[in-house]
Amino acid sequence: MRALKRRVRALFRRAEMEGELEDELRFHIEKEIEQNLARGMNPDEARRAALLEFGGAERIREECRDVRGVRWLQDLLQDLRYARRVLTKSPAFTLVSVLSLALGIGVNAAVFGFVNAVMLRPLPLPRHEELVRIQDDNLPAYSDYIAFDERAEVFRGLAAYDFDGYQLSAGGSTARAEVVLASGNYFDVLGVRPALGRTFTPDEDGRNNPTPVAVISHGLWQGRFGADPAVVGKTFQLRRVSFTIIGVAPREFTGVSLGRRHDLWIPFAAEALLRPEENRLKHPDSYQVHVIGRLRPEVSLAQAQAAVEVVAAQQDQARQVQLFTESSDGQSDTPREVSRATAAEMGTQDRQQSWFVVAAMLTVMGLVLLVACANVANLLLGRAAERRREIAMRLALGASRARIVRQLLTESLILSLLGAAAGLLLSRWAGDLLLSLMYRHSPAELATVTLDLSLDWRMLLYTLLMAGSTGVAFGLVPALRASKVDVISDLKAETAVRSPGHRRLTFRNALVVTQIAISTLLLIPAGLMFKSIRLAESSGYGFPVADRYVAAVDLEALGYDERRRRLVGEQLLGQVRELPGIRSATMSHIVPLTGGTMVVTLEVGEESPGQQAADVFTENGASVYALDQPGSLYLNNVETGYFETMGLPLVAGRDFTERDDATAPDVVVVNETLARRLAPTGQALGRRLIERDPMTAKPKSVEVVGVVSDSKYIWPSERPRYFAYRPMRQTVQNQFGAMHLTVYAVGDLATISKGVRAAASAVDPELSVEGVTRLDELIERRVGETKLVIWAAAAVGALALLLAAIGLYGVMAYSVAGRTKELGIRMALGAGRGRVRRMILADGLALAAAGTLTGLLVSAACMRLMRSMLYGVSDIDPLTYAAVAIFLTVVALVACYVPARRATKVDPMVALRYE
Amino acid sequence: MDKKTDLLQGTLDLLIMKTLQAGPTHGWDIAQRIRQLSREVLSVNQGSLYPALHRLEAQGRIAAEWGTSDNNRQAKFYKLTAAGRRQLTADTESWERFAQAVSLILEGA
Repeated sequence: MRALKRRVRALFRRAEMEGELEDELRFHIEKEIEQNLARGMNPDEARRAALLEFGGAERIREECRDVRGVRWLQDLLQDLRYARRVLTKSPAFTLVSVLSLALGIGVNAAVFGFVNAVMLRPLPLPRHEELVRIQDDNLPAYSDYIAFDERAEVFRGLAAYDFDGYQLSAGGSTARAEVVLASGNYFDVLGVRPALGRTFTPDEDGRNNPTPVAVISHGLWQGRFGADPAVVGKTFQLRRVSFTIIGVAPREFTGVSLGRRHDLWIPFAAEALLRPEENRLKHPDSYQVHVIGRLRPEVSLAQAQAAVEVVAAQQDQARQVQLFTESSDGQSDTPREVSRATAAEMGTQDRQQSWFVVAAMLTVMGLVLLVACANVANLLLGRAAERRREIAMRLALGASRARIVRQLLTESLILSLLGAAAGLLLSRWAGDLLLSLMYRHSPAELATVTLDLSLDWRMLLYTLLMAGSTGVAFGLVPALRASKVDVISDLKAETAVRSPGHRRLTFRNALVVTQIAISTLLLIPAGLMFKSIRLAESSGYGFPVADRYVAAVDLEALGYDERRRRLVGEQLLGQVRELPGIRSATMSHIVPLTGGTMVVTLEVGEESPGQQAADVFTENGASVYALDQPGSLYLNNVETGYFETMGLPLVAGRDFTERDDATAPDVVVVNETLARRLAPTGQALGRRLIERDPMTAKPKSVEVVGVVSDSKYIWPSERPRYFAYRPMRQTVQNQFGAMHLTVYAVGDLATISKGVRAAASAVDPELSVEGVTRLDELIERRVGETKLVIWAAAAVGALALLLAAIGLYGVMAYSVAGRTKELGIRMALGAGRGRVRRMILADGLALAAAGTLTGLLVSAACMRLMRSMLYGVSDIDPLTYAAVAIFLTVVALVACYVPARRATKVDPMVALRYE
Repeated sequence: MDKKTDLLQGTLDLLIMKTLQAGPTHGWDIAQRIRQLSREVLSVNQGSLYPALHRLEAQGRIAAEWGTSDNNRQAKFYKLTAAGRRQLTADTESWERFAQAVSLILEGA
C-alpha cells in the first residue's frame, strides 16, 4: 500500500518530489561545506571540495528517479511533450509525414474495413456468438436441414431460408419485392423481435397447412405502407394470392445476407400457394437452402461440428441407397461444415478464395504503406542530419543513447498514430465512396445494403497495430543513425548543414529507388488492364449493341400455370413484333454481358459419356471465368428470332422455329467454339448431347441442329467459351424466374418503352414490364464495375507514385542544400546555371531510372500471374511498360525541378562565405 | 547504468539499516557514521547512498520525513520501519554466515 501511494505521489506530484530531492542533496552539500570549513578551508575551497566529493549530481538525481519506479511513465510524458514541441516546430515536415502515413494506413484500413464487414464481424443480433451456419461448397438440401434440425441436438434452434422475388400488389400499385422464404422458427432462432405485430409461429410453416402470412421489413413498411401504425392485419397480393401482414421487422434487422435487400418474409410452406403445380419443397433432396442456427449454451464449435457430421453421414448413406435405385450419379456429399455466422454466406471454397483475394489486396496495400513509410523514414533521416547538434548536446549532457533512441521513436510513434487517426477517417470516406460508386446505378439499393463499415474494436486494433509497427518500421533506422553522433565534432560544427558525402545518402537513395520501383509495380497492372479493356471494347462483343432494347418481364408474377404463362409470353412477343419500328423481337432467360448466367450439365452423347464430358468442357489456358466443373457449360434458353435480334449470324444448320416445342425432338444450337470441340474436323450438326435436368438429374438426349458465331457472353474480355442455346418452348420455365424481352428497333427509347408497355397491358393488364433499357447501357453498367476496379488499382498506383515523388523531392532538396558549398565553387569556377540544373536533374533522374528499371523488371516477373485476366495484351506488353516508364520519368522530372532550380540560385559568394 | 561502489553489492543496504537502528537521521549523517564506525575503512559514495536510500524507502524498509537538523535547517530524516527491522535481522544473520564461510575458506587454504 505504502509503495503504491509513493508511486502515485511520484507520478502526480512530480514537481514536489523533485523539489524534495533537490533539497535533500543541497542539504548534504551544505553539511559537507560546513565540515570542510571546520577543517580550516576557506569558503571557496570548501565549496569546491564538497562539490568534487559529491560528484555528478545529475546522475544521482537520475538514479534516485529510477528507484521511484515510474521513471518510464515520466520519461514518456517528457518525451511526448518534447515530441509535441519538435513536431509543431516543423509543421511542413509533420504535415507531409502524417499525410503520407494517413494515405498508406488509410488504404489498408479501407480494405480491412471491407474484410471485417464481410468475413469477421458477427451478425448484429443478440448473443451472436452462438450463431453458426452449416454450409460447405454446397448448401444443405431442405431434407438435410430437416435432418439436422431433428437429429443434431447441439442446436437450440436451426432455421433455414432462401430468396425469391415477386411482384407485390397493394393499394393498386405493383412493384417487385425481394422475398425471403423462411422456416417458421426463423425469427425465434435469430432472436429478432418485431417492431409491430408478431413473427411466424412454427405451425404457420407446416407442410399441410400453408398459411399466407408475411412479416414485412421496416423499409417496406415505411415506403409501401406509409408507416401505417395499423398495418398489421392488412393484406397484399403476390401472384394474385392474398397475404396477411402479421408483423413488421425492427429497423435494425436487415436480414442475415450480405448486400441483399429483404422486403418481406413468408414461411417456406407458403410457396406452395404461389406455385401450386411445381414448387421447390416438392424436391426436398435437391432444394438447397441456407441454414443458420443457434448453439446451445456450453456447446463448442467443435462439438457442433462433430454432431453435424454424424447426421450428414446418415444423410449421405440414405441418399446413396436412393441413388442406386434411381441409377443416378448425383453428388452425395451432404454439407457439414459448421462456421460462425457472419454477414456473408460463404462456402468453404468461397472463403478460401476470398482469403486469397484479401491477401493479394493487403499485399498491394502493404506495398503502398511501405512507400509511405519509406517517405517518412527518408524525411526523418534528413531531419536527423539537421538535428545532429541538438542530439550531440543532449548526449553531452548525460542522456544515454537508449534514451535518445526512445525519444526519437516516440516522435515517430506520434507521427504514425496521427497518421493512423487520419487514415481511419480516410478509410471510412474511401469505403463510402467505393460503395456509392458500386451502387451508382441504383442509389436506392445502397441504403439497404447490409454492409457495416463502422468502426469496431477489430478495426481499431488493426489500425493501432499498423500504427505501432509502421512507427517502429520507419523510425528505428533513422533513430539509431541519429543517435550515433560524434559529440565533439558535431558540437564544434558551427552549422547544422554539413556536406554529406555520397556514402551518407546511399540509404536514403535506396529508399527512393525502392519507392519508385514499387510505384512502377503498382502502375503496370493498372496499365495492362486498361489496355485490355480498351481492346476488348474496341474489338466488339461479337454482336451489335446499337438499337437493341431490353426489358425484364416477370411472367411468373401473374401466377398462372405453365401453359397459360407460355401463352401470355407468346402473345406478348407477337404484339411487340407488330409494333411500328420494331425489326425483330425475342425473349430469353439471360441477356449476354449484363450479369446473368445459367449453367447446365451437358454431356457428349455417343462415345463413353463420363470421360468425354470431362475432357470436352475443361477449358484450356485456364480463364478465371472458366467453369472448371467438368460437363457443365453456359447456356441460354431463347425464343424464336433470338439470333436475328441479337445479330448473331448462323454459321450452319438452322434457327429454332415455333415447331421446336415440348412435343418435338429436343434440339440445341451451339456456338462455333463448342462445335469445333464436338467435331474438330467434321460436321457438328447431328451430334447429340446429354442434358441433365438440374432438379432431377434425369438425362435427356438433344440434337445439334445449328451453329452460330461466337460472341462474348459473361465478360467483355473473356476468351472464347463453349456456349449452347436451347429453345424456350422445350424447357421448364419456372426454375429461372424473370425473362428478358429484347427488341431490335429503330426509334427513341421513350417511344419503344411506351409501345412495349402498351403491348403488355393489352395482353394482360396485370403484366408489368420493368425498365426498358438500351442494351449498350446495360453492358456499360456491367463493364463499369471492372473499370471501377481498374480505376481503383490505378489510383492506388498513382498514390504510391505521389508518395515516391515526395520522397524523391525530399532527397534532392536535401542533397542540394548539402552541396551549397560545392555548387558555389562550381559556379565560381564558371559552371553556368543550365549546367548546374542539368547536373541536379541528372542525379534525380538517375535515381528515378534505377527505380523504374527495377520496377519494370520485377513487374515483368510478376505479371505472368495476371495473364489470365488480360485480353489481347501480353503480360510484358512493351507499350504499356514504356508508357509507365515515361510517366514515371515525367513525374520524377517535376519532383526534381524545384531542387534543381534552387541549385541554380546559389550565389557563389554567399555559399563560400558560409563556412 | 553501472554502479561503482566500494562495497559489496547489497552490503550498503545492510549498513544503512544498521546505522538507522540507532535512531532516525539524515543522509549526510549516515555516510559520516559508516565512515567513523568502520574506522575510515569504508567510505560511502554519495552517488550510491542516495539511490540506495530512495530504493529502501520504495521497498518500505525505511521511512522518511522532513525534520529540523542541528542548526535549524530542514533535512530529510530516515528511520527504520518494522519491515526494515525484520529485514535487518535476517540480513545480519545471512551476512554473518557468509562472512564465516569466507573466512573458513581463507584460513583453511
